[in-house]
Amino acid sequence: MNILTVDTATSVTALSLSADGRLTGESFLRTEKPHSERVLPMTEQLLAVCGLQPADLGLIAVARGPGSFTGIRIGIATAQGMAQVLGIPVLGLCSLDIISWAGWGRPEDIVVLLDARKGEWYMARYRWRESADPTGAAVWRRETLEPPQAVATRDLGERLAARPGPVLLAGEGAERAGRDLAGGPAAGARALPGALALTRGAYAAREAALLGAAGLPASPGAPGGEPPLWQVEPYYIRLPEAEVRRRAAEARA
Amino acid sequence: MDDTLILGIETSCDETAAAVLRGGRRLLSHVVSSQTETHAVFGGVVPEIASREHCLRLGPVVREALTQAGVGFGDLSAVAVTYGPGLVGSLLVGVSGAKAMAFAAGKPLVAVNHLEAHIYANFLEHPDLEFPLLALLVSGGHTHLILLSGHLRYRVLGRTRDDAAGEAFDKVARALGLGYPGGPLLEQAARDGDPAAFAFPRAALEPGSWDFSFSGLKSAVLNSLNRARLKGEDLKVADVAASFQQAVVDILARKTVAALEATGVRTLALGGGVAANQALRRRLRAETEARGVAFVYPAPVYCTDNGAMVAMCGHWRYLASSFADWRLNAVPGLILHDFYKENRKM
Repeated sequence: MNILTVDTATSVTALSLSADGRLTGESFLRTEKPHSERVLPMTEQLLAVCGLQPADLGLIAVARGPGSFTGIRIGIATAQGMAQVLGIPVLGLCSLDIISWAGWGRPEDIVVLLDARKGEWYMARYRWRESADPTGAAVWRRETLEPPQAVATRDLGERLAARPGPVLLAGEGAERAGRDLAGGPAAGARALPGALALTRGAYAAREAALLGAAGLPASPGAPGGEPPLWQVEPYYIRLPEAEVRRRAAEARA
Repeated sequence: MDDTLILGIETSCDETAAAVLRGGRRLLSHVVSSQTETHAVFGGVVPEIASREHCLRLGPVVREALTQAGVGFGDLSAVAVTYGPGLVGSLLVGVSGAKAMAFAAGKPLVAVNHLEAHIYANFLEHPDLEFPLLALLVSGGHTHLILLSGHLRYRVLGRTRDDAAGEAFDKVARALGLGYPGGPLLEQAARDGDPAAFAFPRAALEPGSWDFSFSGLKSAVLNSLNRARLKGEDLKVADVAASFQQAVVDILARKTVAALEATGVRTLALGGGVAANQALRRRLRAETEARGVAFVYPAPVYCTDNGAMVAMCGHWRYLASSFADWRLNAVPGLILHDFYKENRKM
């Protein structure tokens, strides 16, 4: 089965194509152009160079957040729009889970950071552990030590230092956070440099394979059933600012 | 026989809408999922919330439109979508979804300007409207006087220099405590009022201009309310509403009549959310009848944002081979261009 992954949750537009579990193509752009101008031309090009038609796809996986609200929606609308036409399912992926693959096999805890603006990071903390399956073969499992959440930038050092052990920072905010942490309680945290910290189609492909059928709607039912196979909920973490203010006003009243 | 089959998608503000149109004449389906209630507690459209709602609603709305029409994506001639003007986050959901649908279905993509779509709403019930025609476009975001010399051939004669007419309605309605959405509620309140109770100003601007201005009128209404409040007087809400509405209608009608007389155009078409206002329709009907000018306006469901008007405009753009490529982006401040002039330059 051919799987397309779409990730527009950060400033990177990242795509991948896999055939029967094997990564066959990848596309990455971090130009000045917005996602809306990049994502579909890139999809068309990637499919074409891989010798595929849209109808050859069996599943589309999409980064559903957290990240840029607009970016998340462009990715989901794009994935859903294609899947709705093709009658195939959409698998929603957590954008921080995707980036955790940048630290695969590392002994440190992997902390993925994306700029959440308003003085906050979107953050999640993972650990890759090697263990043995029943046959004795080595397998790597990912543990989520802290689930995706918004953390005040000034609190990051303390949050990271609250758990023992070395930390490796990944994600679009890694380098900046690494500099901010200097001199604080988590000064030992090291950041993946430059583009090595960013999301990639290959990571989303691995994440889609890891989730596999477990990430799809429980009962697909008949085509056109409820909920449709292609429906994916965005994962914003944050409420809209107007809703936050409304609730605060309500609480005061 | 024209068998063109167009799916029209509209997400420029707070309505998620899709429609299927056959041959530029038969509307096979028309689905609108309105967010009015979602935004009502905020007293106006919240852009981020509108974008979130579009993202959840677009797929189901398109599916419903196709199901009602009894057609599949494969049957379509093209997918048409509004790409501006409007709220950028809202537009992006529709544009991204429409592009993906057209791409996956192997169909052309047609980019539609929201302003021209409102004009084309008139063709839904009057498919044989003749050119040249003058269009008065009045909504919460726009007030335009446009001359059409043919399909997709526009010349903007005048536009608002400050508030849109519908915006003035909303702001005055809020000041009067009428709630949201202000336009229809203010019209309702005005029904029992005396339109001559207050002499609110009608900005004429400089001679020869067909532009509009509503900010002076809006300020005058708000000042009257404040003055009355300070003096502890009770103003009759119905009278204020009726006098304000009368002033808006006067401003719109005077410029429109002046443009009709100067251009000699024999057909007037109304469009946009405020086109549903009965006082405006009555006045323009009287003015056009007195001059032997034909007057058309869309049914109320096609005055507010909808997919049918996008499909109708998309139909004519499709026939003109006006196709967009996969780089199409939302343009929140999009202005109206004459399609043929635009293409000659290229």
